[in-house]
Amino acid sequence: MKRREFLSLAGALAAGTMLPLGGARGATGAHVVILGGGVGGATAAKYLRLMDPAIRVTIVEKERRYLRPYGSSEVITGHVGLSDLEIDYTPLQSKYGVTFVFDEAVGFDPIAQRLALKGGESLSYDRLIVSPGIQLLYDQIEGHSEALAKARFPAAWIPGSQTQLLRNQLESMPQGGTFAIVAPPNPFRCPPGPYERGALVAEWCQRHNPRAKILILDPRNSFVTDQSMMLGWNRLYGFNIPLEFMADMPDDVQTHANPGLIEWIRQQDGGTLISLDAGSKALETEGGRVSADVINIIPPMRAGAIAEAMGLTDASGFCPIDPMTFESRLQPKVHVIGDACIADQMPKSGYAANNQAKVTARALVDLFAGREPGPPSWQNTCYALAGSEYGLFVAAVYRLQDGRITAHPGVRFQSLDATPAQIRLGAVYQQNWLASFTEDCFA
Amino acid sequence: MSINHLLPNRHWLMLLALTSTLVSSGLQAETPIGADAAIAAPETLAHPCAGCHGTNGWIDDSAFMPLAGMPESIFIETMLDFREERRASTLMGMVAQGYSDAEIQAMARFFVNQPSEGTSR
Repeated sequence: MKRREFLSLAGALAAGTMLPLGGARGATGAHVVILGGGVGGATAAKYLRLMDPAIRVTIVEKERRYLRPYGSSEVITGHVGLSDLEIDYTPLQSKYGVTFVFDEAVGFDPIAQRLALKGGESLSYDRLIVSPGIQLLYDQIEGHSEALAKARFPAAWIPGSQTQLLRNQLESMPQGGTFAIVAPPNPFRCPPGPYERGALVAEWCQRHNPRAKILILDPRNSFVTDQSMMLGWNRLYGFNIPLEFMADMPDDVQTHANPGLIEWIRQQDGGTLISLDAGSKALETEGGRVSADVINIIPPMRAGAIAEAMGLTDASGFCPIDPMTFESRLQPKVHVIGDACIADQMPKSGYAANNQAKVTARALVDLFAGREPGPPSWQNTCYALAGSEYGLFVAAVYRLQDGRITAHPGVRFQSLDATPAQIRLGAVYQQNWLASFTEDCFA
Repeated sequence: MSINHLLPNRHWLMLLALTSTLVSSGLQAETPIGADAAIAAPETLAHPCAGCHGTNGWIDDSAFMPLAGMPESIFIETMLDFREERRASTLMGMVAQGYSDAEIQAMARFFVNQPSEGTSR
């Protein structure tokens, strides 16, 4: 939906029915409406209710159940099924008293502080939190489209039927076949994700398709966990680490005469995608034509469509915010959190969205009480797997410095001389994190 | 399997006696953050930990250490050991390096006051 079309629907607000829960603004405690029941929206709702039970919280969400994107590459290799990603909204309602409206916003009046919903109702708010996640821009790749992604060349970057399709394609890939992963340009959700996916697919192929090739085509020359991930690839899949990344590598790193399953084609080696040739299942890259049996294109992305429709995005496609409160710099009393917002040095990760939600909840409680919000504090932890028993991570603490969200300086990745026990523990923690993180957000 | 169950609250009290002297010396360590930076409220500093350690530090049946009800001196000593690399870790060393002494003390105060039984269930 285009922005003008969306805003024009605000006129429909006058005629719409007010939901009872949207009435009496400010009378019995402030009303916060949250668009999107993902990690950011759910965490904001839960923590608002924990911090001040007098605040009424309504989440507007299309889907009755959430499919978590974090850990969803494990569906592709069959470690878990698609249904294992499902998260139920019942605890947020029963334990924390969050109201859910399963509907979509179709109109927005920032002056009257009201939303129009597709079902015909309208909701008024004292503060609105928008946590829409990302949209994938399939059409920015020549020869590609959303229809092709759904039918043949899945992104599987937002979990759903494309995730299952990619799972099925891996299983039916011919012996010795090629599985191509196209990494997206910056900025993107889950920076270690494409490389973890490559590792997990390689691990699966080691058992089921040992002559297979996993190509990671990359518009970059480095990535977030690069050295620690490449060390894992070297140890587990016979990957030859490029010379530039050999500094400080431990003695057990080997140069393999016959490099193994994973091939990482960097920008400088021609890894940047130019177009998809759907008819002959091939990718045109800066380095030449690449044919593959399975093609997993993770396209460029920007903030979820609703953010654009509401006038919350800038030219980058993401949403500028005040990092103290995550209030939009473009619309008053609207806060944008999670992958959709521009959070300076924080990555687009679930952990970041969860932490941004907590800072926003605290700021709203303070603002409603007439207090100046205090200094914020954030962390990010992204676990990643180089194999199902080989864990690594990126972790950092963030604070506000000169008006920007800034990582505490220092090492943020797994040490290259981590012991086998530390590496194994990283994988144990990754699996435990999936549960503890889900609980902190949703239960 | 639950590692938590191996370390119920009463055992922290025993550890307390062993570590109290270290705590007082550990806090002499240089504060790595600019001393003029305003310190966030204790709960604001503590909530980021919940992504692994559970809401308000309460967690059950997990490999992660519950923090709710942990004696302040144990929390402080553990964080300083991680920060000063006296104790091996996966990522806690890197997390601890992001916090000043005052911030660690504030977090410790927050967690000791959280109920260690599962009030969120």
